[in-house]
Amino acid sequence: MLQCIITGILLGGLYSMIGIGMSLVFGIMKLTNLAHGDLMILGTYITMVVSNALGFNLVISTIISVIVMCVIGFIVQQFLVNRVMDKGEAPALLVTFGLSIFLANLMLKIFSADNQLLTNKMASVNVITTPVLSVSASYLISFIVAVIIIVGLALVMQKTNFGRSIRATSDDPMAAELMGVNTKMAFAAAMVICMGITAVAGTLVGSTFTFYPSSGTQYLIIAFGVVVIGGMGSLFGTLIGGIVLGVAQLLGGFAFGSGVQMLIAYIVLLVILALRPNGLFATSAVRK
Amino acid sequence: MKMKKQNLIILIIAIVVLFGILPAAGSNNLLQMVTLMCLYLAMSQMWNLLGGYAGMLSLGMQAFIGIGGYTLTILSVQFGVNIYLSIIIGAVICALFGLAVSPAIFKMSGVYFAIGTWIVAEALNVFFSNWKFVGYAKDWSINSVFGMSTRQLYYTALVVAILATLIVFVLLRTKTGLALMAIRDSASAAETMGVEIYKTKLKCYVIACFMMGLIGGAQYMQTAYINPSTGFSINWTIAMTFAVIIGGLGTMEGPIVGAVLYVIITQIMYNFPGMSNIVLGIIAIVVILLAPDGIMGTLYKKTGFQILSPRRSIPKVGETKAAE
Amino acid sequence: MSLLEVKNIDVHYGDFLAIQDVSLNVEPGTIVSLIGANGAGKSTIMNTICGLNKPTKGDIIFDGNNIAGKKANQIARLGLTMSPEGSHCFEKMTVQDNLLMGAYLEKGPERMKRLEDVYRLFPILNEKKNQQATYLSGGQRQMLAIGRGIMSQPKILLLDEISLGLAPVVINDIYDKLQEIAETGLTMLIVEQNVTRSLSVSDYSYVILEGKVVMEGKSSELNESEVNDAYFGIGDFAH
Repeated sequence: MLQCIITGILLGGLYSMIGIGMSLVFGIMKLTNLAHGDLMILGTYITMVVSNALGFNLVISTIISVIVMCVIGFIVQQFLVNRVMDKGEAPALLVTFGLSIFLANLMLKIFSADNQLLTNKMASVNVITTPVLSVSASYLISFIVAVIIIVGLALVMQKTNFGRSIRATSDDPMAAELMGVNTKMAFAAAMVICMGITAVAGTLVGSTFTFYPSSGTQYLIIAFGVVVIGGMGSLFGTLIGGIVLGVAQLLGGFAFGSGVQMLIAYIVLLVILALRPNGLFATSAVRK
Repeated sequence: MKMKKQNLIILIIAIVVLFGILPAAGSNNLLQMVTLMCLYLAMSQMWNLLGGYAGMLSLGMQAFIGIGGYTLTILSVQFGVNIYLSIIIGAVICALFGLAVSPAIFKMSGVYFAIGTWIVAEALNVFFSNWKFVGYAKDWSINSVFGMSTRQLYYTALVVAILATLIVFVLLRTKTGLALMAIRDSASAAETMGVEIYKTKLKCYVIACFMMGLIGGAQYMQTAYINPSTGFSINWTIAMTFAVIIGGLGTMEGPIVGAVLYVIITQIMYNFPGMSNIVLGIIAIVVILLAPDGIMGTLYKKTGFQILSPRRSIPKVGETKAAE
Repeated sequence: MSLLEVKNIDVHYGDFLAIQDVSLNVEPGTIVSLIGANGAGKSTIMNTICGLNKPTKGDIIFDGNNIAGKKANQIARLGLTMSPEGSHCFEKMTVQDNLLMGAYLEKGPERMKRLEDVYRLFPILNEKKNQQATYLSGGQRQMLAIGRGIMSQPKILLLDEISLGLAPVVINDIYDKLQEIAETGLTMLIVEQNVTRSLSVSDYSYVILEGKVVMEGKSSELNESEVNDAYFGIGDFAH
């Protein structure tokens, strides 16, 4: 039980990492990126390819993956999202859905459907090992990285001119434009940051769980869950959302068997969605 | 250019006759392809009813394909129930299931609805994968349908397709249709006009669930085996969405054109394994970027051409914003 | 030489000609007002100058640059700041962050000093500096929008309908502040529906009717009842 809760909390850190990118993209440009999960898995594969082919360790591979994903994020934003953003909800949603289909199947074609795992020393190492409690290093690292990134990102968003301009753009793009902000570039910058973080999440996921080209769907739903529970666009909310989802999943698995733990997470999510259709902490987001 | 009524009737009779005599004339291959077209047409028509007319973009209609397929399997294989009766019962179960989840998912709107419905389907996938009675995630062969003729499968699909099209055709010409268009164009305005949004949406949703169950049953009649990850696969939604986007969201002809194209493209891509969905994804993105109204929507805007769609809006000539 | 010169612009919304052959001049250090009824096209003119709309014909020369058709953020960079109709504060951001957004293009410590100036001008904003803009009253929002405009230290400030929907006493208050700002020598182009107020606050006025300039002149020399006729399109201005 205690084990479940602790592991759930740490897993929640990983989940919030998955969710941050989606949350920011939604918070800033009101876009639900249905390709989010697939983009993350793409990041995982890039890390894998770089570390396998070039023999780099995981950290350097991840940095390369982050750079590549930032470029991809910029391309996606400039050539897809920016073009449909002012056409309403359906086109934007559908274009990312199309991207999701494309990416998942492209990865399937290139990497085949085999399960993969980023081999690393951390996966099997336990930091704490006692009869009642053991904590895996990779879970702990994920959690710490998540906290660092969330705090860092929050500081950037709150304190810097750049962060302010992003918030202003999300708040009122027209007024931001009148203040001299190039809003399309602000959106692109936001997407680039999100993709960079998502690439890190991809490495963490890939070194914790096995993954395959169609894993994206599962992680999209997790990201969505994190964001729904934590509130779209709220950074610290995503941490809470991740933890709630992680603990719910592991407690569900503890009570009903590990096979159904995702089912429990989904049901928790649906119940939350039904009770608070705009997210658990939605206050300001529904105002308009 | 709007077709006159008698022309329309002649056209429809001609099409029905053509499809009726197809088995006598066409090869088995052609027949199988048209069968697929019919099934995808029916799916797309229903998806379009929700997404294009009722403003409910669902990414979870595969839930009902799966339920339809599994009901057919369980009833006909396990309990020896007549195949067609099994399919109809499956559709009824889908309608009831849709009704049961509606209080929850109808609270969501927009993307929440889209992903909420998707989660329902994924949850069913996990549930069935962990359900001993259906053999967990293993393939279950539907041996009750073994030995059905291509012709029999074709007629079943044809009936389903005609039924789906007819339902949308009639529905849009009743008061429900008017209410739907009012909802899609402005939910708050429709509400103040006294339209009972909830009931109208629910009606469409339950009808679509029922039909999806029917389609799922008809689909698995010919697939002849089922497992949770294909039964509840997002690929079903990909197919429907693709057909509707390509054909034209919110037109009645769109899903027909889209479904035909979908089947043709997937057949062509059959020789390039794994490429099909990649190409579909690219086509969908390009269409949304360049012709967001799809083939029929664009055609309608350019020439005013339509056969089945009711007049959706006043033509956009001289449409202007207020000066200030 | 004019700071801002609008030369014979047309603006279309789709096929609809909203603005027809409008020309304006704004001399440095003056306040120029656009007067006109609802729907006359005042906001369209303002939005076209600041780059939110594109003119289909004509030039807009600002400080020696032709800005017609440029993007709003590019125009803002040249020193033309607009406070749009309805204030458009950044609702979820604090009052102080709103003001700092006004000085977005400037990174130096100078803007902290300017922040003090704005707080001195509008003490209420200082009191509420850590509150979200969404909790401000209508008058306070306008003050915030004006303050945000000043923060960018523009060469010209465009103010669109700053008195819309406010109580008369609040409007007086805001116009008093506007006089104070004008005394610093800031050039302004304002839109105001109230003819009397418009004439009293500005140096030069243009009356807009159905997308055209129908009357212009020094505000002190314009006859208020004639302006009213032009405003409503009656008398000589009937068509």
